[in-house]
Amino acid sequence: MRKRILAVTAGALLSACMPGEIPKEALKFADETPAERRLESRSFATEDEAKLLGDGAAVLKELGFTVDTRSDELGFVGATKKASAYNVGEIAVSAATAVIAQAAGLGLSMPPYSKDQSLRAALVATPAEDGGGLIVRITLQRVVWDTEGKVSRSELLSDPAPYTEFFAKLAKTSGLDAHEL
Amino acid sequence: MSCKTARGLRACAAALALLAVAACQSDLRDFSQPPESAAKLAAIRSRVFATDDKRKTLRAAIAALQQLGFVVDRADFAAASVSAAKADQYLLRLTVTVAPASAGRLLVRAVARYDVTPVLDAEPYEKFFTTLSHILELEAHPAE
Repeated sequence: MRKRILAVTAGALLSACMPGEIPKEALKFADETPAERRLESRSFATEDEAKLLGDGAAVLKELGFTVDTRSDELGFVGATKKASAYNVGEIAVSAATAVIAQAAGLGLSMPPYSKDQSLRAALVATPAEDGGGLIVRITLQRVVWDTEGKVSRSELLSDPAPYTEFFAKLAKTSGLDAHEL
Repeated sequence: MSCKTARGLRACAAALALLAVAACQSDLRDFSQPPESAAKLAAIRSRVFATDDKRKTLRAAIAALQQLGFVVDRADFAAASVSAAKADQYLLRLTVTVAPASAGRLLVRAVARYDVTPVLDAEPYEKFFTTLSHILELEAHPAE
């Protein structure tokens, strides 16, 4: 019995402490798809890049983002919006797991669950390749941290709604039409 | 419990503790084949482009990062640097810096890290420089 406990403990200790590899998929850089580019981009008939960037920053603030960095020279605005990531269902599953583990005599504590999330926006303006107007591209990334402070999820937002909302507001603020690519 | 059994258990516990400590002292590591020297690593991470247009090169770096699924979160023209995290792998960060190499040429250096672990694998750097070269419409030359 004691040997079994020792073996289980050893396995748990080693699996928890063994170094991990960098995930292979993290180092695979796949090219974007035309659909992604279309979703994230609109063209505007203006040459005034600084004003359009300023309007973009204003829209991001209106949407609850904090502008962290802006470079007019590079046509870039970076912004973040923090929020809670608590999910009642996920917490319930985590609590249930802990109760079952206790009942089984495993003595495990409550597994981590999502706690905080950050929505990160990268707004980039570039001159259109055909020489007329500007292309504005916004990329929205969601990052979730669990109760242990580890990143539990990282994803590019693929729902068209937030992109459509941003470009509609940018068109209104700038007084320009936002054209799909 | 016999004395022999107790001794055996103590020995096992000591061995376990030793193993656990040894395992915990290692951080995340890139298990790809490390380069033979610092010079080789620098060569993997750097390319020279026949342009002196720092602004255009940094903008092209931003476009390349976007094209490869990164979300740019820092862009500093004065520091000639841009940095981005991979959209689906937040812990993977690529930082690109641009510096004059010689007359009419710029040295572009890319450094990838996964959390705090430097990426030594040549493939992601190769992919980045190929994309950058395509956007700049300039050939990427090995750094001297």
